[in-house]
Amino acid sequence: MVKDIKKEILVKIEKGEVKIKPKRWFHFIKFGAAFLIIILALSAVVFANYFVYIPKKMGAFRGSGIGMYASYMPFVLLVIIILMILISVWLYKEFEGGYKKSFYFIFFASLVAIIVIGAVLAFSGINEKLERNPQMRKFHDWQENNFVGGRQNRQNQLYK
Amino acid sequence: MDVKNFTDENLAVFIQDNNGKGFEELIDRFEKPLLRYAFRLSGDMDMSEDIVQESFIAAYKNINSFDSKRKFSSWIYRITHNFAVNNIKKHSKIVPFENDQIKDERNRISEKGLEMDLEKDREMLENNLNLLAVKYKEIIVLRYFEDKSYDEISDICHIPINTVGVRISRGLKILKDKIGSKNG
Repeated sequence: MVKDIKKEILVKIEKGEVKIKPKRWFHFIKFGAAFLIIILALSAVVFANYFVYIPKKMGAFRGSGIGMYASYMPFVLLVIIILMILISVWLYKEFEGGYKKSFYFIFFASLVAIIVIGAVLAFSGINEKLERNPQMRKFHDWQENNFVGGRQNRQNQLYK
Repeated sequence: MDVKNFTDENLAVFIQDNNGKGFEELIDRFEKPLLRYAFRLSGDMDMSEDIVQESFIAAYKNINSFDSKRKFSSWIYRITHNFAVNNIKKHSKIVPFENDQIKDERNRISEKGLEMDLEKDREMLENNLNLLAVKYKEIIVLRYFEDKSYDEISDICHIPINTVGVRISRGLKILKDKIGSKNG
Protein backbone atom coordinates (compact mmCIF):
# COMPACT_ATOMS: atom_id res chain seq x y z
CA MET A 1 0.00 0.00 0.00
CA VAL A 2 1.52 3.26 -1.10
CA LYS A 3 1.25 6.15 1.34
CA ASP A 4 -0.54 9.26 0.05
CA ILE A 5 1.92 11.82 1.35
CA LYS A 6 0.23 14.81 -0.23
CA LYS A 7 -3.20 13.97 1.21
CA GLU A 8 -1.83 13.38 4.70
CA ILE A 9 0.04 16.69 4.69
CA LEU A 10 -2.90 18.69 3.38
CA VAL A 11 -5.21 17.15 5.99
CA LYS A 12 -2.79 18.17 8.74
CA ILE A 13 -2.63 21.71 7.33
CA GLU A 14 -6.41 21.97 7.05
CA LYS A 15 -6.88 20.72 10.62
CA GLY A 16 -4.43 23.40 11.78
CA GLU A 17 -2.01 20.80 13.19
CA VAL A 18 0.78 22.37 11.12
CA LYS A 19 1.18 26.14 11.07
CA ILE A 20 3.56 28.52 9.33
CA LYS A 21 6.03 30.21 11.66
CA PRO A 22 5.92 34.02 11.31
CA LYS A 23 8.65 35.88 9.41
CA ARG A 24 9.61 37.88 12.49
CA TRP A 25 10.66 34.64 14.23
CA PHE A 26 13.29 33.98 11.54
CA HIS A 27 14.41 37.62 11.57
CA PHE A 28 14.82 37.36 15.34
CA ILE A 29 16.98 34.21 14.98
CA LYS A 30 19.11 35.78 12.23
CA PHE A 31 19.63 39.11 13.98
CA GLY A 32 20.12 37.34 17.31
CA ALA A 33 22.90 35.22 15.82
CA ALA A 34 24.50 38.27 14.16
CA PHE A 35 24.30 40.20 17.44
CA LEU A 36 25.92 37.33 19.36
CA ILE A 37 28.70 37.05 16.78
CA ILE A 38 29.46 40.78 17.12
CA ILE A 39 29.41 40.63 20.93
CA LEU A 40 31.67 37.57 20.97
CA ALA A 41 34.09 39.14 18.46
CA LEU A 42 34.30 42.41 20.43
CA SER A 43 34.81 40.52 23.69
CA ALA A 44 37.50 38.41 22.07
CA VAL A 45 39.27 41.63 20.96
CA VAL A 46 39.14 42.96 24.55
CA PHE A 47 40.60 39.70 25.86
CA ALA A 48 43.22 39.68 23.08
CA ASN A 49 44.19 43.18 24.20
CA TYR A 50 44.82 41.85 27.73
CA PHE A 51 46.52 38.79 26.31
CA VAL A 52 49.19 41.12 24.93
CA TYR A 53 48.98 43.91 27.51
CA ILE A 54 49.45 41.87 30.71
CA PRO A 55 52.80 40.34 29.66
CA LYS A 56 53.83 43.72 28.20
CA LYS A 57 53.11 45.45 31.52
CA MET A 58 55.09 42.82 33.39
CA GLY A 59 58.09 43.52 31.22
CA ALA A 60 57.92 40.50 28.99
CA PHE A 61 58.77 42.54 25.89
CA ARG A 62 61.76 44.17 27.50
CA GLY A 63 63.37 40.81 28.00
CA SER A 64 65.04 38.47 25.64
CA GLY A 65 62.69 37.16 23.00
CA ILE A 66 59.75 34.81 22.82
CA GLY A 67 60.83 32.63 25.76
CA MET A 68 60.38 35.56 28.12
CA TYR A 69 56.95 36.33 26.68
CA ALA A 70 55.90 32.69 26.93
CA SER A 71 56.67 32.63 30.64
CA TYR A 72 54.19 35.49 31.15
CA MET A 73 51.63 34.37 28.62
CA PRO A 74 48.10 34.31 30.10
CA PHE A 75 47.08 30.91 28.69
CA VAL A 76 43.61 31.07 30.23
CA LEU A 77 42.89 34.18 28.16
CA LEU A 78 44.03 32.38 25.03
CA VAL A 79 41.65 29.50 25.78
CA ILE A 80 38.78 31.98 26.33
CA ILE A 81 39.57 33.76 23.04
CA ILE A 82 39.66 30.46 21.14
CA LEU A 83 36.35 29.36 22.68
CA MET A 84 34.73 32.68 21.73
CA ILE A 85 35.97 32.37 18.16
CA LEU A 86 34.78 28.75 17.93
CA ILE A 87 31.28 29.74 19.05
CA SER A 88 31.23 32.70 16.61
CA VAL A 89 32.37 30.54 13.70
CA TRP A 90 29.74 27.93 14.55
CA LEU A 91 27.02 30.64 14.68
CA TYR A 92 28.24 32.13 11.40
CA LYS A 93 28.22 28.78 9.63
CA GLU A 94 24.89 27.69 11.08
CA PHE A 95 22.80 30.86 10.83
CA GLU A 96 24.52 33.28 8.48
CA GLY A 97 25.23 31.10 5.43
CA GLY A 98 28.93 30.77 6.20
CA TYR A 99 29.06 27.08 5.28
CA LYS A 100 30.55 27.87 1.85
CA LYS A 101 33.84 28.79 3.47
CA SER A 102 36.22 26.37 5.15
CA PHE A 103 35.92 26.15 8.92
CA TYR A 104 39.69 26.21 9.39
CA PHE A 105 40.07 29.26 7.16
CA ILE A 106 37.43 31.28 9.06
CA PHE A 107 38.77 30.12 12.42
CA PHE A 108 42.45 30.91 11.81
CA ALA A 109 41.72 34.16 9.93
CA SER A 110 39.54 35.33 12.85
CA LEU A 111 42.13 34.27 15.44
CA VAL A 112 44.94 36.15 13.67
CA ALA A 113 42.76 39.24 13.08
CA ILE A 114 41.59 39.36 16.71
CA ILE A 115 45.10 38.90 18.14
CA VAL A 116 46.47 41.61 15.79
CA ILE A 117 43.69 44.07 16.73
CA GLY A 118 44.24 43.19 20.40
CA ALA A 119 47.99 43.81 20.06
CA VAL A 120 47.39 47.17 18.34
CA LEU A 121 45.12 48.16 21.24
CA ALA A 122 47.65 46.93 23.81
CA PHE A 123 50.41 49.07 22.29
CA SER A 124 48.16 52.08 21.65
CA GLY A 125 48.36 53.26 25.26
CA ILE A 126 44.61 52.92 25.81
CA ASN A 127 45.09 50.53 28.75
CA GLU A 128 47.40 52.96 30.55
CA LYS A 129 44.78 55.70 30.15
CA LEU A 130 42.03 53.39 31.40
CA GLU A 131 44.08 52.38 34.42
CA ARG A 132 43.90 55.92 35.72
CA ASN A 133 40.27 55.14 36.47
CA PRO A 134 40.17 53.31 39.85
CA GLN A 135 37.45 50.89 38.71
CA MET A 136 39.41 49.90 35.61
CA ARG A 137 42.54 49.63 37.72
CA LYS A 138 40.75 47.05 39.90
CA PHE A 139 39.62 45.17 36.80
CA HIS A 140 43.14 45.11 35.38
CA ASP A 141 44.53 43.85 38.71
CA TRP A 142 41.92 41.14 38.76
CA GLN A 143 42.89 40.11 35.21
CA GLU A 144 46.58 40.00 36.11
CA ASN A 145 46.04 37.99 39.29
CA ASN A 146 43.67 35.54 37.71
CA PHE A 147 45.16 35.00 34.32
CA VAL A 148 48.86 35.15 35.05
CA GLY A 149 48.52 33.86 38.60
CA GLY A 150 51.44 33.91 40.94
CA ARG A 151 53.99 34.68 38.25
CA GLN A 152 53.88 38.38 39.00
CA ASN A 153 54.56 37.73 42.68
CA ARG A 154 57.47 35.46 41.83
CA GLN A 155 58.80 38.13 39.49
CA ASN A 156 58.50 40.78 42.19
CA GLN A 157 60.28 38.56 44.69
CA LEU A 158 63.04 37.94 42.19
CA TYR A 159 63.77 41.64 41.75
CA LYS A 160 63.42 42.60 45.42
CA MET B 1 -3.75 33.12 -10.54
CA ASP B 2 -2.25 29.93 -12.00
CA VAL B 3 0.62 28.92 -9.77
CA LYS B 4 1.61 26.14 -12.16
CA ASN B 5 3.51 28.62 -14.34
CA PHE B 6 5.49 30.03 -11.44
CA THR B 7 9.15 29.25 -10.97
CA ASP B 8 9.93 27.35 -7.76
CA GLU B 9 11.26 30.50 -6.12
CA ASN B 10 8.24 32.60 -7.13
CA LEU B 11 5.93 29.86 -5.93
CA ALA B 12 7.66 29.85 -2.53
CA VAL B 13 7.30 33.64 -2.29
CA PHE B 14 3.62 33.31 -3.28
CA ILE B 15 3.12 30.76 -0.48
CA GLN B 16 4.87 33.10 1.98
CA ASP B 17 2.67 36.03 0.96
CA ASN B 18 -0.57 34.02 0.91
CA ASN B 19 -0.23 32.17 4.20
CA GLY B 20 0.36 28.73 2.74
CA LYS B 21 -1.85 28.94 -0.35
CA GLY B 22 -0.25 27.08 -3.26
CA PHE B 23 1.64 24.59 -1.11
CA GLU B 24 -0.14 21.74 -2.88
CA GLU B 25 1.62 22.66 -6.13
CA LEU B 26 4.93 22.57 -4.32
CA ILE B 27 4.23 19.02 -3.12
CA ASP B 28 3.33 18.04 -6.71
CA ARG B 29 6.64 19.37 -7.97
CA PHE B 30 8.95 17.93 -5.34
CA GLU B 31 7.34 14.76 -3.98
CA LYS B 32 8.86 12.39 -6.53
CA PRO B 33 12.39 13.83 -6.68
CA LEU B 34 12.59 13.99 -2.89
CA LEU B 35 11.24 10.47 -2.51
CA ARG B 36 13.81 9.22 -4.99
CA TYR B 37 16.59 11.08 -3.16
CA ALA B 38 15.52 9.84 0.28
CA PHE B 39 15.22 6.28 -1.02
CA ARG B 40 18.69 6.33 -2.50
CA LEU B 41 20.09 7.55 0.77
CA SER B 42 18.16 5.28 3.10
CA GLY B 43 17.47 2.25 0.90
CA ASP B 44 14.09 1.87 2.61
CA MET B 45 10.85 2.99 0.99
CA ASP B 46 8.80 3.24 4.19
CA MET B 47 11.49 5.34 5.80
CA SER B 48 11.76 7.49 2.65
CA GLU B 49 8.03 8.22 2.69
CA ASP B 50 8.24 9.28 6.32
CA ILE B 51 11.31 11.42 5.57
CA VAL B 52 9.56 13.18 2.68
CA GLN B 53 6.38 13.73 4.67
CA GLU B 54 8.36 15.20 7.57
CA SER B 55 10.32 17.32 5.10
CA PHE B 56 7.21 18.85 3.56
CA ILE B 57 5.75 19.56 6.99
CA ALA B 58 9.02 21.24 8.05
CA ALA B 59 9.10 23.15 4.75
CA TYR B 60 5.55 24.40 5.34
CA LYS B 61 6.29 25.48 8.92
CA ASN B 62 9.54 27.21 7.93
CA ILE B 63 8.57 28.55 4.50
CA ASN B 64 9.12 32.10 5.79
CA SER B 65 12.80 31.34 6.35
CA PHE B 66 13.32 30.73 2.64
CA ASP B 67 15.34 33.50 1.02
CA SER B 68 14.08 34.07 -2.53
CA LYS B 69 17.60 35.02 -3.67
CA ARG B 70 18.56 31.38 -3.22
CA LYS B 71 17.49 28.30 -5.14
CA PHE B 72 14.33 26.77 -3.74
CA SER B 73 15.21 23.20 -4.74
CA SER B 74 18.46 23.40 -2.73
CA TRP B 75 16.49 24.66 0.26
CA ILE B 76 13.96 21.83 0.23
CA TYR B 77 16.61 19.21 -0.56
CA ARG B 78 18.52 20.49 2.45
CA ILE B 79 15.51 19.81 4.69
CA THR B 80 15.10 16.29 3.27
CA HIS B 81 18.84 15.73 3.58
CA ASN B 82 18.73 16.58 7.30
CA PHE B 83 15.79 14.28 7.98
CA ALA B 84 17.34 11.49 5.91
CA VAL B 85 20.72 11.69 7.63
CA ASN B 86 19.09 11.76 11.08
CA ASN B 87 16.89 8.77 10.22
CA ILE B 88 19.81 6.82 8.80
CA LYS B 89 21.82 7.48 11.97
CA LYS B 90 18.86 6.38 14.09
CA HIS B 91 18.45 3.17 12.10
CA SER B 92 22.13 2.56 11.51
CA LYS B 93 21.74 -1.04 12.63
CA ILE B 94 19.78 -1.78 9.43
CA VAL B 95 21.43 -4.61 7.53
CA PRO B 96 22.24 -3.67 3.89
CA PHE B 97 19.38 -4.99 1.78
CA GLU B 98 19.59 -7.85 -0.68
CA ASN B 99 19.06 -7.47 -4.40
CA ASP B 100 15.52 -8.93 -4.21
CA GLN B 101 14.60 -6.30 -1.71
CA ILE B 102 15.95 -3.62 -4.04
CA LYS B 103 13.74 -5.00 -6.81
CA ASP B 104 10.69 -4.96 -4.52
CA GLU B 105 11.37 -1.39 -3.52
CA ARG B 106 11.88 -0.41 -7.16
CA ASN B 107 8.52 -1.92 -8.03
CA ARG B 108 6.96 0.16 -5.30
CA ILE B 109 8.66 3.24 -6.65
CA SER B 110 7.41 2.59 -10.17
CA GLU B 111 3.93 2.23 -8.66
CA LYS B 112 4.30 5.89 -7.79
CA GLY B 113 5.21 6.66 -11.36
CA LEU B 114 8.82 7.37 -10.65
CA GLU B 115 11.19 6.91 -13.50
CA MET B 116 14.35 5.06 -12.70
CA ASP B 117 15.74 4.90 -16.18
CA LEU B 118 19.35 4.73 -15.16
CA GLU B 119 22.28 4.08 -17.39
CA LYS B 120 24.26 0.90 -16.87
CA ASP B 121 27.06 2.48 -14.87
CA ARG B 122 24.60 4.35 -12.76
CA GLU B 123 22.89 1.07 -11.95
CA MET B 124 26.21 -0.40 -10.91
CA LEU B 125 26.82 2.68 -8.80
CA GLU B 126 23.38 2.47 -7.26
CA ASN B 127 23.67 -1.21 -6.38
CA ASN B 128 26.89 -0.51 -4.54
CA LEU B 129 25.97 2.77 -2.87
CA ASN B 130 25.48 1.05 0.46
CA LEU B 131 29.16 0.24 0.56
CA LEU B 132 29.80 3.92 1.18
CA ALA B 133 29.61 5.98 4.35
CA VAL B 134 26.69 8.44 4.38
CA LYS B 135 28.94 11.48 3.95
CA TYR B 136 30.15 10.16 0.57
CA LYS B 137 26.88 8.52 -0.44
CA GLU B 138 24.84 11.73 -0.08
CA ILE B 139 27.22 13.67 -2.32
CA ILE B 140 27.41 10.96 -5.00
CA VAL B 141 23.63 10.58 -5.04
CA LEU B 142 23.17 14.33 -5.48
CA ARG B 143 25.82 14.56 -8.19
CA TYR B 144 25.13 11.46 -10.28
CA PHE B 145 21.46 10.74 -9.63
CA GLU B 146 19.95 14.14 -8.94
CA ASP B 147 22.26 15.97 -11.37
CA LYS B 148 23.01 18.75 -8.90
CA SER B 149 25.89 21.16 -9.45
CA TYR B 150 28.74 21.48 -6.95
CA ASP B 151 27.26 24.77 -5.82
CA GLU B 152 23.84 23.21 -5.18
CA ILE B 153 25.40 20.26 -3.34
CA SER B 154 27.30 22.75 -1.20
CA ASP B 155 23.97 24.44 -0.34
CA ILE B 156 22.22 21.16 0.38
CA CYS B 157 24.94 19.57 2.53
CA HIS B 158 26.19 22.86 4.01
CA ILE B 159 29.81 22.17 3.15
CA PRO B 160 32.33 24.24 1.13
CA ILE B 161 32.44 23.65 -2.64
CA ASN B 162 36.02 22.33 -2.42
CA THR B 163 34.89 19.70 0.07
CA VAL B 164 32.19 18.60 -2.41
CA GLY B 165 34.88 17.88 -5.02
CA VAL B 166 37.11 16.11 -2.52
CA ARG B 167 34.27 13.90 -1.26
CA ILE B 168 33.16 12.98 -4.78
CA SER B 169 36.62 11.84 -5.84
CA ARG B 170 37.27 10.10 -2.51
CA GLY B 171 33.84 8.42 -2.56
CA LEU B 172 34.33 7.14 -6.11
CA LYS B 173 37.78 5.83 -5.23
CA ILE B 174 36.48 4.01 -2.15
CA LEU B 175 33.67 2.56 -4.26
CA LYS B 176 36.07 1.38 -6.97
CA ASP B 177 38.32 -0.25 -4.38
CA LYS B 178 35.42 -1.95 -2.63
CA ILE B 179 33.84 -3.20 -5.87
CA GLY B 180 37.27 -4.41 -6.98
CA SER B 181 37.84 -6.36 -3.77
CA LYS B 182 34.25 -7.70 -3.86
CA ASN B 183 34.81 -9.09 -7.36
CA GLY B 184 38.08 -10.66 -6.26
